[in-house]
Amino acid sequence: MKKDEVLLNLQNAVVLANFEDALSWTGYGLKEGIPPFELITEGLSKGMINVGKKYEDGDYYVTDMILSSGAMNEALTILLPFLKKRKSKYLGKVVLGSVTDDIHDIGKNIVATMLIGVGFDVYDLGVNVSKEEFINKAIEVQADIVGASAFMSSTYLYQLDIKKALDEAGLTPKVKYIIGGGAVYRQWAREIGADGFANDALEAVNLCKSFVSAKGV
Amino acid sequence: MAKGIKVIACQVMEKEIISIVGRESNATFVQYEYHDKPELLHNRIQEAIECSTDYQCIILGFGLCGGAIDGILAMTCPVIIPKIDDCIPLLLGSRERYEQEKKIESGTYFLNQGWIEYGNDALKDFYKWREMYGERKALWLINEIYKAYTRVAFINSGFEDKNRYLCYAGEVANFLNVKLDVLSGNLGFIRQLLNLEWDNDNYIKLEPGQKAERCMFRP
Ligand code: B12
Repeated sequence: MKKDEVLLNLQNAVVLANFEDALSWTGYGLKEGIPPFELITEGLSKGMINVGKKYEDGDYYVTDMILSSGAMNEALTILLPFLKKRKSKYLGKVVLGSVTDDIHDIGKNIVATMLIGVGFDVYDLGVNVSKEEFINKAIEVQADIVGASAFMSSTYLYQLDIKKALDEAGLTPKVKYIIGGGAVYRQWAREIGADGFANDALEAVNLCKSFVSAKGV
Repeated sequence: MAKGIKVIACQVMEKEIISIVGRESNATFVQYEYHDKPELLHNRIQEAIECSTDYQCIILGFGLCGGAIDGILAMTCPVIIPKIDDCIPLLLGSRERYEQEKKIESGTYFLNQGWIEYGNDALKDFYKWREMYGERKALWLINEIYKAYTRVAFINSGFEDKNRYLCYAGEVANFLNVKLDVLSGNLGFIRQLLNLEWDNDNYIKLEPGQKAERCMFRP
């Protein structure tokens, strides 16, 4: 089977959220000698971009998108160890989390999956993440980008606390700080001096890419 | 001649509100399903305001609710809005109590009779998703989406038929394999709101022609 066909099958497995196919086409691709990185960026990730579009257009429910990203993550569990072993090039390191008191995470998880899909190293701290946890992780892994999600009007003020803590720890401006989530707006990002904001996962990916390419990684 | 007070509120607190103002009152309840889509909720509420002419004032039984209230315009009479992010403080009696309960257990899913009757929960999600995707994927979704939840809190507003709902809340907790807590509801906040007792900064008052803004909700 041609490489393009395998990659297309992988895309479809993600679009249709077929966990088994995502795994088996990944295995097949590896056996055929397709580089793991390509299986991710040209296969899985392209599928996920499609899914995002379908969601934007109203053809997919949120749950469709979550299932698709689940299928992609399943395949990533096989692929990521390869990348780590070979120390392959990655675009940069991103620390992500939902802020204190916020236990919503659907949007954040999709951003995480998409970032991994284009070649970022993502450290997802989960939900209800304190500013100290963000800072400590950013220092520990020497993050390029820190991203904070807030989904509630009762929690988004914590995004400002994180910005202050990043400043105090001397991490900015080297570390870029980006924010997102249903409760926040571009204007808020400007107000708190964040380096960026994105409305959806694709925009988040482009945003992160813009930082690292500007840096020349 | 002004017709007195009009209440526009979310279905979720229908019973609580009726218990205070009575069935014959001028109350409109907006369907819960708009909860997921703040823009649509916004439109529904604005329409309801536009239909309510000749009142002395309109009281909204909503929080900022994901931005739904942002930009709401008072038309012919003042509009009163509680200064809260979502409805849970109205059910618990105060913002402080809500904060406290979330500090006790951040992974709390709150239910009252109205949420159970009209709203969403893990069990309803499961049945819906099982129809859509089959059992295996539905269970996978439940695990994924509710993984951070560690308790279900039933807010007991003290209605006679509460046991049935309490039982159901227990089923939801069981299904998620988390504990069930029963929190005593407190209608004080709703009562204050409906009795026009705004002697503190718990409320926003929009004069005719004035628009609600997000920043008004900041403490
Ligand atoms: C799904 C959902 C839930 C799920 C959460 C599951 C999960 N694991 O996350 C469940 C049902 C469990 C839930 C629970 C609750 N919820 Co809820 N929930 C929602 C809902 C409907 C959708 C959120 C969502 O996932 N959207 C889909 C994703 C794909 O979109 P997104 O979040 O915007 O993410 C995209 C972008 O923002 C961006 N992005 C996201 N993060 C980041 C980060 C960075 C760095 C960047 C650049 C970009 C970016 O990319 C993402 C992908 O495209 C919202 C309403 C809404 N429309 O926002 C309410 C909402 C957030 N919930 C609300 C409420 C009230 C609750 C409960 C309190 C209800 C209850 N009865 O207990 C509980 C929370 C309990 C607690 N202890 O706090 C309120 C919050 C009000 C407030 N305080 O501000 C909302 C706004 C609903 C409303 N209209 O009032 N909820």
